[in-house]
Amino acid sequence: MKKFNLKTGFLLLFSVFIMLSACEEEDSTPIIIDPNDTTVVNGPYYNGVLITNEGTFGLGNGSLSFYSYEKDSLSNNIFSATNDRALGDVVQSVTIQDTLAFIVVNASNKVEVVINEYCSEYKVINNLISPRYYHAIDSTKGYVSQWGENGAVKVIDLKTFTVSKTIATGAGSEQMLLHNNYVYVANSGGYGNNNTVSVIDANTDEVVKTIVLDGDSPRDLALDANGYIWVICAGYVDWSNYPAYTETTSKLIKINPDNNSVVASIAIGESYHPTCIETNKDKTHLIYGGGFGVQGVYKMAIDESTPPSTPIINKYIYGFNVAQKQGNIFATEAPTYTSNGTLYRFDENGTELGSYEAGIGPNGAGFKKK
Amino acid sequence: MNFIKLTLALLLISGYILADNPDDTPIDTIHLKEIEIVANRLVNFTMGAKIQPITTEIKNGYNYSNLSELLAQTTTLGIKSYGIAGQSNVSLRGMHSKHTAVIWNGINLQSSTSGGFDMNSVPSFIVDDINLQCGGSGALFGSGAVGGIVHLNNNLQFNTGLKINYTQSIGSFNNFFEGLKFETGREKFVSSTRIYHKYGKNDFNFINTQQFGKPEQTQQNAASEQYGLLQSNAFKINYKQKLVSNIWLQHHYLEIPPTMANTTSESNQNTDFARISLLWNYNGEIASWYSRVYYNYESLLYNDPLISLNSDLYNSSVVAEIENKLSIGNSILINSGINYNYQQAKSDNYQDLKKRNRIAAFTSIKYYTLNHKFASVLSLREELIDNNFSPFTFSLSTRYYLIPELNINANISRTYNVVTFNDLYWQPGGNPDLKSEDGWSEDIGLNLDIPFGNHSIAFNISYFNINLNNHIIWLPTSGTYWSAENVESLWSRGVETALNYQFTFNRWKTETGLMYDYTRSTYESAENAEEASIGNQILYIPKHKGNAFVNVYYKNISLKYTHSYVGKRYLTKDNLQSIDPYQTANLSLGANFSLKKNDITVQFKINNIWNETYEVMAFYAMPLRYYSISLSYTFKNQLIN
Repeated sequence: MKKFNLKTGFLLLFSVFIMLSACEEEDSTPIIIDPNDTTVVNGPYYNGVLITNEGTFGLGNGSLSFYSYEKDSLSNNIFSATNDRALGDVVQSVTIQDTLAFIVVNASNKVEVVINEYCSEYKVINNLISPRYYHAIDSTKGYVSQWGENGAVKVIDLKTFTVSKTIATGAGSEQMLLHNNYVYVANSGGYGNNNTVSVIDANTDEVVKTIVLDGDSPRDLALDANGYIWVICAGYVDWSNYPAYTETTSKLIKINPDNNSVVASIAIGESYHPTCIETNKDKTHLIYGGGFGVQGVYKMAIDESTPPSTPIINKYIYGFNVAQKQGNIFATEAPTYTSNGTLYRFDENGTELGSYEAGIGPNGAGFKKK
Repeated sequence: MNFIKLTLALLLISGYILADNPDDTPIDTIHLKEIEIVANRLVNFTMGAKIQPITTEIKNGYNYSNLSELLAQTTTLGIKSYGIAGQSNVSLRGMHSKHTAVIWNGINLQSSTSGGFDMNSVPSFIVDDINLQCGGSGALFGSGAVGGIVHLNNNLQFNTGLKINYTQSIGSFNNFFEGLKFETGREKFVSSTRIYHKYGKNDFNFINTQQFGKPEQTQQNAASEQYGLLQSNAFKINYKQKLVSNIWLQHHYLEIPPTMANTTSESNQNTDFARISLLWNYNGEIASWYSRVYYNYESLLYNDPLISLNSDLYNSSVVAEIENKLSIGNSILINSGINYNYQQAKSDNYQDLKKRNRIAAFTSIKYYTLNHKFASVLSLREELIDNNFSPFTFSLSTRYYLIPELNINANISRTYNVVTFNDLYWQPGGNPDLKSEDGWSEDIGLNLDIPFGNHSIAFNISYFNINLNNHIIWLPTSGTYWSAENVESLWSRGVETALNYQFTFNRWKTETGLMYDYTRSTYESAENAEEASIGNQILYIPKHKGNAFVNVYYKNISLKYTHSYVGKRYLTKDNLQSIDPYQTANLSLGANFSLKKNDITVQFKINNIWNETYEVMAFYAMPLRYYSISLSYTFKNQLIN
């Protein structure tokens, strides 16, 4: 059954040699592909959008998909196809920074870093506990929010790809937003409840203010055309007396970043608990909705004070992101966590442009900044 | 766990005092099937089913390991093991593990909360007799007997004298087993006391194929430790009446290693249980009675320091059963009984203490010809769970000997599976309105057994078909949380074959065997967007599974080789993701030395001899080649000359 011949031996030796020489190169300088350099041949995942698929918790079958604008199709499992290994357990989010893509793998407590256009493994960032999102700060560092250690932001040194500092925030730190060199972190409460946004000075990596909101479980943030920051509070559902439960109203909360004060608070639903907020391409409208068991994605002008009554997408969308370049909404549907879900592409008014079979539990998208 | 230690010590002393009485005189030289006392239905009413016994000879080679290793290496039972010491669930005929009953001395040990049973929690050392019963038999054995049953029995023999056994084993990755057994079998009294301790650090090296750079890593957080006691007694009250008692206490600490996809894990669990049973048997010429009571208390404390999660589960149960076996003439046997079962569980995941009363009435009528060429059993059972009827079940099973060497067995049975507490009461999503899963199981088998001269050939082929409806799965039906629903239908069918050959020549003896199972087990219904799963293979059920062994004995030396093949297993209902087939093999060399009343067996074993990298459960690392050496010393002082 088992055979070991000379040929296999040589092949093995040869590949080890290749690996070793490749490692040497990688260790010295990162491969930087200048998007304006026309001599560079683009990788297979050049013109499109990365989609994260959580997979089934505990089974390690999370995956990464690539939507190609040119082919108008979705390729699944691109990470495992390229690197001959699984991506990990609960693939939470992906963020593209320059030539790299940072894939946050929540239950595997790591961030896999790949060369974006090739999806080839490049680095792995460890020493994280239940990480959620990556946010680029500049070419030397990035932030990772995590639920572990009662909610924290980990500062990642992009020379070594290691954690250089831990900033305590609030329970269940989720999405982040960088504005005027300050990072706004939504503290969702994680397994429990919270109602704060931490403001971190990106120069000093210190929390300078904690904004207390009059809404529960802030999850996501967006910056509008007028320079205001909007926070979506999902509202808190307390199941501890199941089957009886209590819930609080979901809200959109508007923050003036000049003085970090709350300037408006709009109630959006008593038993509607959305977790995502984005703006359209021109940042004149908010697009919100999405989450586990949340039906309906809505679009609201930034100067409105009452939420719209009809959704632009009337589906159970698990997560979505808006491609700021094209204005398309990439929304995912995850009916179960044991078989494949669906990726939808909509225009910013909710007109469906396409639907594609994704991996298990698709939850969001990652885009190039330009 | 001080009470366990104390009881251990006390029982050891008492067992030792009782053990030694040289003045016993031999009376009963007829070997009664003592196993009938604890397993009447298995012995007398299952002849229509395919029963796969694990011979004592095979079992003894695994006395230092847990049942999961024994079953994985010597049968084609489906095994889901999370690492080498981790939780290990078994399943028969392509069904889930909750559809495979585990019956210990007539008592179902499946958890009332999850329906599962961990085969890695039972040392082979404390079981005397293992039988796999393939196919459903809900009417005879009740809930859970859908895909089949693993019967574990303790067989106490009267009049066998004093026997003291000490077994020790040392293996790779700091594995250590120690077991001590005192047994005294006298005319009217048998007492057997076993204590055991098993420890393994399981810090093996493996290539982590799922991490950046595919580094070689050492498995962490994979230790396990268990110690316990089994004390069994049988008394002959008089010529016709017997009392049998069992006390089984165990502590089991288990660390749960990370998957290869993850980097760290600190989670662990402590399981402690006490299982106590008492059986009274009246063995009349016409009417026999079996009356048993059983009490079980178990605590399972799960702890994950990384996410500050503690989850405590306490469950207990009481079983009271009375069964009557009536022999009418020379061709009819009627067995009827009532089983009462009280179950309760307390969990952080339930709102309050959950309990239920189950009461079942069952009866079987067996007709057999005087020469035993033909026998047929009709069984009926109805169970009431807190005043709700579960599906009425019946079964009809037959065995017919065409010639002494060739027989056919056939079985048709309705099956059911009682809803677990987790499915009923888990917060949120538990659904108190769930009904029992129910289905059908049919099979037919051909069994050939031809001895000729010093050769012997046995061949078995079985075809089975199992349907299960109202299978409970968790769906995001309510919008904000998942909830358990009776929605799925499963269909499993396949062919099992086994071929055994034995040859004896002078002081040589060889045994070889081949087993192959083809199992097509599929989803037959779907909800929501899961339509794509209809007709797809059920997760973790391989279509192909095989097992082969060659044992060679020469004088007192034995060389045993076992080889197992497990086919591709699917990880998703759409069958797009799967894990590769694997083959593992083991080689053991044993020697036996006897001197008067002393008997020593030494065994050296190489596990995974071909150094295969494989995964039983996706992303759970398994060790490459590893070793163990074991020693078993027995002192026997037989009463019968």
